[in-house]
Amino acid sequence: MVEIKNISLSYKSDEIVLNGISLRVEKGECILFAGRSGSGKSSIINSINGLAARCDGAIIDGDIKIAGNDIKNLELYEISMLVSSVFQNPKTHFFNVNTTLELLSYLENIGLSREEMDKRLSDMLEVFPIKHLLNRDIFMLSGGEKQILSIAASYISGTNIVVLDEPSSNLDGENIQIVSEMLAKLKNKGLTILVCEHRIFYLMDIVDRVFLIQDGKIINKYEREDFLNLSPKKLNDLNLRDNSKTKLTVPEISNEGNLKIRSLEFKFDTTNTGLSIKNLTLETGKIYGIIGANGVGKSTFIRCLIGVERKSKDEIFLDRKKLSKKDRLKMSSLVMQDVNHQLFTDSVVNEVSLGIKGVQQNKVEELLDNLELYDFKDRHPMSLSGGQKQRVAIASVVCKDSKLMFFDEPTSGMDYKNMIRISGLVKGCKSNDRIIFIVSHDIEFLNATADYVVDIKKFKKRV
Amino acid sequence: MLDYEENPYNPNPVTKLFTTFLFGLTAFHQINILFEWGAVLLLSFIFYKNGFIRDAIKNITSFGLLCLLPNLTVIQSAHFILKMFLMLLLMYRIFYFPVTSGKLLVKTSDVGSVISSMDKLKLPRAVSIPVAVMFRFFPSFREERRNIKLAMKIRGIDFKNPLAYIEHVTVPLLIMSSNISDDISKAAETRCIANPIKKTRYIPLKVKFIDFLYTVLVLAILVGGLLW
Repeated sequence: MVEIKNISLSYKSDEIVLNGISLRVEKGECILFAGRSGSGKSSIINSINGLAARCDGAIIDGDIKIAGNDIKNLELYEISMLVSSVFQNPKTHFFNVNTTLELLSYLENIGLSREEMDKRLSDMLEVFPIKHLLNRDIFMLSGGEKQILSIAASYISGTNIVVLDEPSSNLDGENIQIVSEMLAKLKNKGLTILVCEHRIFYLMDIVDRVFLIQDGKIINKYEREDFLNLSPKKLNDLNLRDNSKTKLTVPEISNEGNLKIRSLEFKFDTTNTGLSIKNLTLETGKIYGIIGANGVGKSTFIRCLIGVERKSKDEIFLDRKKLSKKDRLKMSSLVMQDVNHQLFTDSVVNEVSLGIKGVQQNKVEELLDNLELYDFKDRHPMSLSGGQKQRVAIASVVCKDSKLMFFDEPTSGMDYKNMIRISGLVKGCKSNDRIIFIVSHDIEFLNATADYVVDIKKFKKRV
Repeated sequence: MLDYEENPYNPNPVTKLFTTFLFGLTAFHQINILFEWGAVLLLSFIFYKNGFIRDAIKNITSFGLLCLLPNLTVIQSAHFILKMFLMLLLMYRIFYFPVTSGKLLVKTSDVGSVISSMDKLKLPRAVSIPVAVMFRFFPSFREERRNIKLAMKIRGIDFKNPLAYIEHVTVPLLIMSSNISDDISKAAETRCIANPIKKTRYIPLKVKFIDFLYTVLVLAILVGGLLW
């Protein structure tokens, strides 16, 4: 079905991302590519769906054959008629704004008749009961719903091969379970599935073979049984996450401390639901994990706490002193999930000290040194790698020395070692007069980092 | 099969494109104020019937405010900073109708119908695909801009120093814009948008009564406003 012969891939002439990859995947197989961030997993996926060479400017040597066709001779739309793709971030996946039109647009573009489209839609609804997602505005869907729609879209397209690039990165446990069931159905229908992932536990029921990728090479191949027998320690040594579902071991919030949310009320725009919190108490010097399903209101909760949600009605006290929204905004700092939103200046050193009065130069330099950023201090933040950018954002937050520190999904799509590193960085920010909040779905990360968890589901109310 | 229904008050993109072009003529020759109000109310009606109630109200209030602008001779005698500011508003007043009609086009048309409209007009793919990507760009852009604004608020970047503000807002906005357009292009390509065969439409592009009515009303307003 898919045959790769000795391919090498580079984005610039001097940087080799894939080196001598050869593999053969049979019809109906499910293959997992695992390995650390930057090992080249995604590049294998993107060379199969044609995006690497045709959109990202990669230079590829060697042969890739799909269903007997050499993809060098195919246009991108011809490859897309053989292989459908699911991307890491579902928000980048869609071309239409209406969900139904999105499902149909591929079928319209390959020129199917209306009857044939109806047939495919009803067939899809039989396999995946997602009628509630039809005819909605894609921007109003939660991350989980978007990813479910992406997988449904790849089924309706009728291709025999589906490639997925870290599809669980932004999903909560419940949605990961749904995605896992959807993929099992695709496999039962005889589709060939190629997926690269960090969180691998949810794939263990369907995977046939695992390829371990390192520095652009396949360093090991495992049959399903052999891979399942690897111990958690061995997996972590290989820089992989656990292959069974991790249980959350962090205790629920103890409701003691000096930051008191006497009340917090917020109504969502689009539904008749909202957040309603009464008498929640948090303690300085602790790290709180904010958990709950995609779309439950975790980000809204932290925006209300920071004081940027005008519509939130709240009474919040620190050491018995009432904090206005403005007070909270002054004492808060946030590392966003996509750090590209929060890098504003032309050099790392300026970025770290932006908006902070009377900052000492030597303190900034020491901080940069601690975060292994000193050598890049005069570089433009946007010219750095993803991990480095995230560390710059963390540095700027640490430099502001805020009493309330927020991290939004800091480890999404991260391998084991980088996750442990971020955990260390967050714990390093802990201090007696500070409360740290982490919004995360990453159970392993929360177990390693948080003191307590706050489940937002408990505060969601109908209004 | 589908509960997707077309709104009978939503003209098709060809009509909206054509009327935007017609409204463009008001930038060269102002029409009578009463007819201008007729156009404002017509645009607000279409916004309203397509579920954009806030835009419908905004349209009426902002045009009302623009009508309060003093005339050129008064502006010329004003202080130079005020003059600059008023001139900018006056420019906006001149281009008000094509801009608002363009906004209506972008907000009420889905990407698929825009592509098939352009196919009907026999525009080459090299034109229609970038235009379609552009259409899809705005809703994504709005979402990203909200995040950037949040980050700026928390970092304490405000408008007190306008030059620094503009510099700080530009960097992430440019990077995000280029990322968005990359992502949309990839989504479009993997949806076989470049497939050269004749495409089908689940909901075919129809000429409805509203297309006829809307075009006639716009023409009547423009011609009436010129001759009055």
